[in-house]
Amino acid sequence: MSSPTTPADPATVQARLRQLLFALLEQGSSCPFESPEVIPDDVDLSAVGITSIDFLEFALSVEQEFQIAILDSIEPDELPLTLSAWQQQVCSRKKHETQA
Amino acid sequence: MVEIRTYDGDIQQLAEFCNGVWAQRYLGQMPFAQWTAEFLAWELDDAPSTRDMIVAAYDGAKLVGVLPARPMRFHLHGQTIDGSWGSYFSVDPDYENQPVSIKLHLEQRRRHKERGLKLNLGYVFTGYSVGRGQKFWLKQKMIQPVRNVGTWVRALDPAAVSRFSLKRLDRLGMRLSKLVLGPPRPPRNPEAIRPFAPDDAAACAELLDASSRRADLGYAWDATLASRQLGYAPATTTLVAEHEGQVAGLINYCPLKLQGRAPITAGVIDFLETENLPTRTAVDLIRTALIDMRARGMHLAMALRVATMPFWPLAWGAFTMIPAEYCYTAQPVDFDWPQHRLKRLHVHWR
Repeated sequence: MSSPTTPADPATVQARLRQLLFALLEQGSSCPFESPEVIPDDVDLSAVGITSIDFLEFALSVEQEFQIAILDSIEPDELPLTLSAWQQQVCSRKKHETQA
Repeated sequence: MVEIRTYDGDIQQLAEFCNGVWAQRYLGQMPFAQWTAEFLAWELDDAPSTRDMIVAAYDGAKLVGVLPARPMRFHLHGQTIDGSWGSYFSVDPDYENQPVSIKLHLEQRRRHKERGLKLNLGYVFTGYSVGRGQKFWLKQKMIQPVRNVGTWVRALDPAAVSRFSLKRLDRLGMRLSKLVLGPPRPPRNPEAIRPFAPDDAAACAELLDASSRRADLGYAWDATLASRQLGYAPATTTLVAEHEGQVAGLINYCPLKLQGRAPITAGVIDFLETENLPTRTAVDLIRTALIDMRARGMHLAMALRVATMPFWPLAWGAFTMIPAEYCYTAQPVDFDWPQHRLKRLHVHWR
């Protein structure tokens, strides 16, 4: 788990996001990936068979993993829809927290 | 590409969309309400100033989701707070793989901030595991479960309610109740009960607001709100009871079609004020309402089981208590939600 005040390394964040997404997809009936490592950075979350509730679960698990609040303050248009967009969101918030 | 914006259709289309979505998701799996345009117009106060509280998702011109809220002022432990209550959340199942629900939720939250609304209140149906609301709302840290609530129920047509019930045990119970539960009894003193008239709004608002202030959480009533809630016929019906020449009690109820195994129409008691009435008049008030509901083809009377709903008049009216099937939730927006438990609610069910 990432420390709440340490800036996050983008590669580490991306790897952890892959694991979180894979864990979620594995709970479903058909996971399109064999392992977290093969999930592409630009994968569109809506294209991998997750439901809106899975999407929420993913967002909540990201918040918990990185100890950041995203949903409470994000605009609907800013909602990340790809893994790389999630990574940017996490890194940006961690950086912001550290500066604050 | 799904776009989130203010709902731009009419209330009839809104009712059709919500009913269609709920039927597609839950028909035969759990009971759900079927709303009429008239009902939603009453509920959502479809005025231009509140239209932006009906947040919708569109795929081009196609409506694919809606999350309505109605601005409301609340009493919360002596504080008066501007907030809203919400219901009728509906998302087209064909758009299940897109984050439509969460986008609607975030946009509604953003609009609350913009309007300075500190609170959004609503119900999550927990009575059936298939209900998606509990998976969506109750996991979020920004949602506070206020308390679990059950209902008071009184069958007016036990056979119809038995056909409606999706659970075998409920059907059995309803068949048995047919043997002991007769039609509602007539009031002993019908002269004390009469239909609500517009001139009663101020007196009724006082009754409602006094109850609300005694509760931990309730609506802040004035004559305008009372007039709309109590007098928006035929979506709603209100009877008032007089005592010593004054309006001293009221019962406010509305017909609502519910779909289970078969459809029924429930008479939903939204507000019942009997505090200032002699017990006999309070019982008469309920009996008069039950007779009216039955005469108008309603199969079931129901009321939210909260501390501000009077126990004895309902028990005398042959209502029975149903265990909690709803979780009343609060979503504070830039507002510190009280840490202590809220026990007494003075709110209506949707």
